[in-house]
Amino acid sequence: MIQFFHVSMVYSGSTPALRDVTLEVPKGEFLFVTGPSGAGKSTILKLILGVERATQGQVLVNGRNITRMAGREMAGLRRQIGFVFQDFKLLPRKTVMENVSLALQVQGLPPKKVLHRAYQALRSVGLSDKRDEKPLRLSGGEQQRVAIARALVGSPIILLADEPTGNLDWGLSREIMDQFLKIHELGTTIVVATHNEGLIEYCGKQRIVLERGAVVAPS
Amino acid sequence: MNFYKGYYIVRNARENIRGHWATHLVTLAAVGFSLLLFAVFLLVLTNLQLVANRWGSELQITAYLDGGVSEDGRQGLEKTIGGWQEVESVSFASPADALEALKKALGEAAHVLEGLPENPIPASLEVRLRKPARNLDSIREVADRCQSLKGVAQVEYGGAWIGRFFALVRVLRWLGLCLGALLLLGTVIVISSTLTLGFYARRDEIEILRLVGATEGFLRLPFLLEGLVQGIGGAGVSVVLSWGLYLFFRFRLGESWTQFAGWTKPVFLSSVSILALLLLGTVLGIVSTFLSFSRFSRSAV
Repeated sequence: MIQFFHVSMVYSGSTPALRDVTLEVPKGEFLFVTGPSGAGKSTILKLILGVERATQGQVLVNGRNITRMAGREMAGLRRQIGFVFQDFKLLPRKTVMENVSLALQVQGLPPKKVLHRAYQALRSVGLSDKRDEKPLRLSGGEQQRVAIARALVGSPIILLADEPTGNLDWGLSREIMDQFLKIHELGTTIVVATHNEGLIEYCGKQRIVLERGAVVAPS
Repeated sequence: MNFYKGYYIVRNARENIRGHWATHLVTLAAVGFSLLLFAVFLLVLTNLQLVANRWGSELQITAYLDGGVSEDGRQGLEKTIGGWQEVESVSFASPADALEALKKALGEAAHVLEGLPENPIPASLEVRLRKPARNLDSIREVADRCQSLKGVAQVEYGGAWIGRFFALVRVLRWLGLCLGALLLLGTVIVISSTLTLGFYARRDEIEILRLVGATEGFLRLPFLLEGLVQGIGGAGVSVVLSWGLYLFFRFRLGESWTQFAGWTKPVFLSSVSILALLLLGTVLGIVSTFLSFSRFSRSAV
């Protein structure tokens, strides 16, 4: 599903964020990317999402080389990828329902269908009763569940999460991870970047460890 | 693009205008007043041009004859001039006729002519041109041709002062173009600055929309619509305001204008000029949007 071939990434004027990374995430896999801060965890997710371009090497997502992908093609790929960030990335002026609907509106679905599917996505994360609230009126855990609903509403084949529990306490973190495990059971490929060892142990899934931009385990 | 994408794009544009209505209103007013100056200039120029054309069309050529021209010679001149394609009619005015006409024109002051020992006015030919030739260039050309004829002492057509008036209209037209270009540049800067502010205000939304798979068209078209609303709306405002000014001018200064121009009433902008103004607003909106796209892309994406 996701393949990196000798990928290096250097942000302008800084030390390399990734060094010669080669990895493969098979379809339906649940993978943790871990390591200390600055190890390159977020960079791997950004490369999969096409937000950053590899300086060297090739990145393949769902069999397509995205290294030079742009425009409409990239937009089409992103519709197949859900993402969840540590800072939720919700729009404070829009309601919970409107935030979740955004992912469907860009696909040009009819408004009724958008509302129906957004409602279903919110129900799946237990927030259908908060649909008319503004995100800032919700707790951190609830906001992250809204972000998960937005990531899931387009039925993605890949779900990416960058420190999804970074702002949450242990109880809420477990709740979020339970959501991810449920999604994984439905066949979605999931990649989670985190430095939280407890979370990885709780889920009992595969991991790769990064240090200074290089994969150190499994070697 | 499917129908619903278009629907969301229009809705996004509408929501953005509603969300930042004060900024949009100020921009609309700024664009409206910039284009109003342009419209007023156009209005003044249109009316001055009409006056110039009117005065030009009323001009006729008077060819004063030499004292020694015989009857046959005069008839020959009449025939020659009357045969030119620009000429509608040629009429002879004898010194006695001309003196009589002058007395009539002087009215009560005609007594000043009574003490003259002899009639000082020479015989003349009044040359009237056909309608298509009633412009300064044709008049000047026919006058020159008359002057070159044997038996013609002097030719007059009031060309010097009307030539100056035409020159004034030409200068005003160029001045208007320069002023207009500056105003339009200012308008583009105002609209594109508002749109760029809009880009920054919606930076997070744009980022999220990109991440969930929005195409560049989906992201940018709402801004293009906003630019068009400002451009066309501003042009509409300028037309309405200039119409108001025109009515005010007609009401307050109509008579003075008629005395000056010898023309029944001042005219408003033609429908072609109004359409051109609206089209100008449209172009301004589009140019401003693309300018703000590039400014935003350079600094933020």
